[in-house]
Amino acid sequence: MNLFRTIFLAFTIVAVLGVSYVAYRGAAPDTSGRQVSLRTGSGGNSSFFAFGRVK
Amino acid sequence: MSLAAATTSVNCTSCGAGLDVLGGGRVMVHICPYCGAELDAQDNYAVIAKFDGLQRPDSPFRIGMSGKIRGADYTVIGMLEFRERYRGQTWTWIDHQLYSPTHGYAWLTIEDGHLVFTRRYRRPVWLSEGQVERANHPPTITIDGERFRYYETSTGEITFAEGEFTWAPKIGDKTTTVTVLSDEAMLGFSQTNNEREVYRSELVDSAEVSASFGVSNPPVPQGVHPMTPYQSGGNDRFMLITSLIALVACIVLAIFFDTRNGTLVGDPIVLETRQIPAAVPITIPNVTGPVRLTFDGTPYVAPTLANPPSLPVYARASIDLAHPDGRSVPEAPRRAVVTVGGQRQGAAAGSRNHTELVFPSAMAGDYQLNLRWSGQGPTSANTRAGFEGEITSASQLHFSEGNVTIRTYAGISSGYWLYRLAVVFLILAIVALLGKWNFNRKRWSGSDWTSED
Repeated sequence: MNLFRTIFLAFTIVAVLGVSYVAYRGAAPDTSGRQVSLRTGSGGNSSFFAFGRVK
Repeated sequence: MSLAAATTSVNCTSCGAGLDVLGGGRVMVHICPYCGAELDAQDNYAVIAKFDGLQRPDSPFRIGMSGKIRGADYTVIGMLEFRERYRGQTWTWIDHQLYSPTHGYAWLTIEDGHLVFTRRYRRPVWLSEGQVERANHPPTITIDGERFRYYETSTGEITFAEGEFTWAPKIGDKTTTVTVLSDEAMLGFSQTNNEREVYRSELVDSAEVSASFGVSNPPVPQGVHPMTPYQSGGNDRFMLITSLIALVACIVLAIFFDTRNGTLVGDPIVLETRQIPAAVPITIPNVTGPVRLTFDGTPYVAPTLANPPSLPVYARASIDLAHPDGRSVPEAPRRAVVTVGGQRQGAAAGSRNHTELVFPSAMAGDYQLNLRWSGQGPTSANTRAGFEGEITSASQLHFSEGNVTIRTYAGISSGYWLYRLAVVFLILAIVALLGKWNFNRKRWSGSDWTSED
């Protein structure tokens, strides 16, 4: 495996694992920082493939 | 250096210099490298022309060198320099006439450091300059399943010649060549005066061929040659596959984390409607990640009006967040509202019956929730009850039962950033796909075809 592939594979693994940890921690624009965020609606209205979660 | 092993020689009939005879029986002329005399090899080397003052071009391949190309032994027997001028630009290239006792005659050309091996192509195929001029689209030719597309038309002029040739080149002779290109080969349709020839060219490994011919300073290939084959098993393919796998992984993980809505912390707080307005103490636990506070209002409430309206009655409770000492929390949203009622009997809760406050982990601590009625409806119910103005107590509501349930959840995950990472990998996959497109764009960048609208 050449240097490019090694670096690219390492980047991919680190990125997926790192962001998965961030996701596990629940970080999102409305769950980070120092603001209490408001969500309205219920499970039936959440969009499946939307970015972020709408509840 | 490899030199042809068995050679014979003749003396130049013009200057008397000794000339090695390297070519086979089809050699027609021998141009003396010392005096520039063109000698007729078919007629006792009689002088038929003389080219004075020629400047020998710089080439690492010299007459007499021998080596292997595609498994066959070849010897350099002649050298021609061509020049093409077009719209103020000038291109020069050097063709080396090769001879193999077993494979006949061929050409070796240096183009931008790439070595191009060319042989006569004896198939009934031809494309003229006129056909190209008349075509609306780039002409194509398919031979033995190999598809060629028009690449360029060039007219080269001979500016230098020495050695043996199977024809009689003259300084100043012009040759027009129409070239078509496939993935890994070129066909050249050349016309000099009334003679037509078809050639097939392919790239050969520059380092390997140079080493075989004993060239001490081999040409270094520059850039992408039109015949450079695309390496589909290269880094772009690896990048494409890896990106697609990572893309799928990101989406699967994002969906998984999005379904992780957390676990209930403590017991739910059930607030009867008659208890509102109320100040409810709550504790946001100091846990990893955000904490979610949910408010669920009873979907259906029975009206207490003597003459109830046809639409379900409801009331809205506004939610304010304060510190235990009553100070308001400036980071809290100002318009949090949960609705009690508003649905028909037996119906599921509507979106307004559910509200959430999401606390970032940095805001753990004790708070006070202030709930008060901010309005009720429908309008027809207010009209029937003669109600106007602010609700100060639950006794003014059009219903008496119902409640608001407050729950606390921790251990929440979010696929938000994983979805964004998936977009990054999608872009990388597209970039990898564009690799071949970009490669072909470079291959065809030298084409002179222009579409006229």
